[in-house]
Parts: sequence; structure tokens; C-alpha cells
Amino acid sequence: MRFEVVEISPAANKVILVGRLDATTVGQVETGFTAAVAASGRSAVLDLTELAFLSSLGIRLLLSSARVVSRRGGKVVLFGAQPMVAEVLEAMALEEVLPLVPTEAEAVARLG
Amino acid sequence: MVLRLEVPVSLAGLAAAQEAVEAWAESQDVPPAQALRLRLVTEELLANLIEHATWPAGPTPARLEVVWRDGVLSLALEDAAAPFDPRHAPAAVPSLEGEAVGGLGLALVRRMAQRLDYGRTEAGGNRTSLDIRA
Repeated sequence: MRFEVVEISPAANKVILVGRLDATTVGQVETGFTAAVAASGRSAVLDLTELAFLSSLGIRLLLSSARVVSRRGGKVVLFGAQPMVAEVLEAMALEEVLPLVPTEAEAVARLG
Repeated sequence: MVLRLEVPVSLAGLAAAQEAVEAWAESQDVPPAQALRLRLVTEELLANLIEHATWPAGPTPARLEVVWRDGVLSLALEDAAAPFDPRHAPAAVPSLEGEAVGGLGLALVRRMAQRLDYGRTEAGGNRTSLDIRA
């Protein structure tokens, strides 16, 4: 599991997630991911095209980061999920909290 | 058609079990989407034991059995933890305001399962069994 951060505007980052975000990997990225998303002071679009697996512990990390961004008036929008990841997000009814859209352009548009 | 594992209730045990069920599912030609659901359910049930279980006689390895027969993928987990019925655990309602984060894993298990049964083993432990959604 790894991630990369790309600045897409003065107010927003793109964070690219690669690999599996689950119980056994979340510890490897938790601190860095929280710093990159929650502590950046920016909104974020999360690129899930290379995320192969997501479990509840991964969702917890995404949720806790989104909450911090939201409290600062920002947004977190997800895009490009593979079928397994989309299924997990949809099963948890996270649309309000972590909206998922097909493409990066739509995700950026959702930041407003 | 049957995979049986003894799984130490630890993160290392969980990681090994995930790799084992995935490799087994591939060897059995289980459809990839179902294999991923199997990996997910395996993780959520074991992670729940690691995080929340109490052990009247100290932690002992859980027993995992996975069966692929006539297109049905079934999983059974036996453990010696204090009684816990996953069918009746509260489900989480994720929100941006709330701080509560528990209950997500079991909610996912319920969504990935077609049948979810719970009972006690002869030794007084928990037995959770389910069919993975096709």
C-alpha cells in the first residue's frame, strides 16, 4: 500500500491510492495519509483507480480524514473505484460522507 | 473444495489467512468478485475478534473453514471467545459529524453474505457461518 499527493490547485490536492487498504496495511500509511489529507488544509480528490481492495479499517481512515477536512470547510471526493471497492463503498451507504464519482473531472467539479 | 485453517488471533494471523483464502480461491477457480468478498469477510470477522473479543480462557487460534461446492462459497469460523452473535450487533451509520467508527466491519459482513448463521460449538465457543454472495 502506498499513496502519492499531487497539488491540483491552491485549494485542492489529488491523492492517488495504490494497492490494498486493509487491516494489515492501514498502519503503514495512516500517519502519512492523515497528514497529507487532513492536515493539508485543502480539499482532496482521492484517485482509487489503482486501489485493489478496501476493508472497514481502510474506510475508517478515509472517514476520519474526511471529517477533519469537512470541519475546515473542505470536501473529500472519491473517483475511479474498481468494482470491489465501489461495492464496499456502496454497501456502507457512504454517499453523503465520501461521495464516489466515475472520473477525476467529476470529482474536481464536486469540490465546487 | 475445502480449505481448513488454524488462525492465530493476531494481525500476522489475519494476513496469513487472507493470503491463504485468496490463493485457495484462485486454485478453485472461484469467480474473482466472490474471491474478493471472501477475502473481505475473512478480514472483517478476524479483525473483529482481534479488536473486540474477550477470552474466558485466554486467546486461542480460531478455526476457519471455506467450502466451494456447486457454485456456493461458504465460510465458517469457530472461536473460543466470549459469546458474540454477529447477526444482532448494531450497525454503524457513518456521518461526517459523528465520531463513532465501530460496527462498519460487521455491517459489511452482513452485506456480503447471503445467509448468516450463528450458534455455539460443543466446547462453548462461537460458530459463525455464512454463504458469500455470488
